[in-house]
Amino acid sequence: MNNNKRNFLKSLGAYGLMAFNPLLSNYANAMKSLVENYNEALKSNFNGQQINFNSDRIIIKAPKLAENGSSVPVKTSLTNLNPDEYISKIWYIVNENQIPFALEFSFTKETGFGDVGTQLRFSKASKITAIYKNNHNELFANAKFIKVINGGCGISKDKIRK
Amino acid sequence: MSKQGRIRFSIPKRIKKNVPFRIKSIIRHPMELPEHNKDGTPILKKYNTIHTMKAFINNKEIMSIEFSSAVSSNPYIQFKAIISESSELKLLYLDQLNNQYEKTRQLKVIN
Repeated sequence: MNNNKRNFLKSLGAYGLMAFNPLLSNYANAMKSLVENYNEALKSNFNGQQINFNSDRIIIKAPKLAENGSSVPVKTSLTNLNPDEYISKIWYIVNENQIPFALEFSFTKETGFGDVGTQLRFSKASKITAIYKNNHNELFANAKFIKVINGGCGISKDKIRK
Repeated sequence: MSKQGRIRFSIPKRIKKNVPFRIKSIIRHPMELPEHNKDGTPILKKYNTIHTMKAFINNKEIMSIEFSSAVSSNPYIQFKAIISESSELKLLYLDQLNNQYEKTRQLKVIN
């Protein structure tokens, strides 16, 4: 009797795993692809250059909670800019978007104050990362998490072409 | 559609010599999103999106931006600049359908 009960429980467990496995694997694949997108984007653009990801110099102004993901205002500024320093590039990355790189700014000495702003689309709640590069080729970044209620990337199901 | 490409930008009334000032610009543009088939494959075609914006002072390029589809429709951009003398500011937008939109304005420096 005990043996039968044990076998029954074992088979139940096996069926359960089989039933949930595809779901798990899909979810895992989706998560993996997102992480890969972000990591690949970083690798391809910065060639393994060291980035200081928790720089206090960059201040990101964006709402903590955005109702509509189709236009989220994001402003970034820089503190402690040295007299011989200017910002040559800024990248905005929305980590969870299918194409993470949102914007690439290129500046000269006349505009390299690191004070920029725009409005971005968020597919879902995600971190926004601002990566700065100065004229000494130093990379530093800061990030802020923004919770989005309605995603703004992608077209609603009614508009999908058949 | 007729209003597509209309640029509005604001600059401060008083610009001081060698003091940074903020330029705000907005352009009316749909910034189409990539569409997908029912199975999730993207539909390959030219989408009506802005891909580049450039700013010139006295025909010298001072800034450029590369856009992706993650920028919202009617793209808004703000940045800071510095000038030493009165000059002409030009903003230029380029989109995927080979349209060019530009607007110029005189910047007057007050000593």
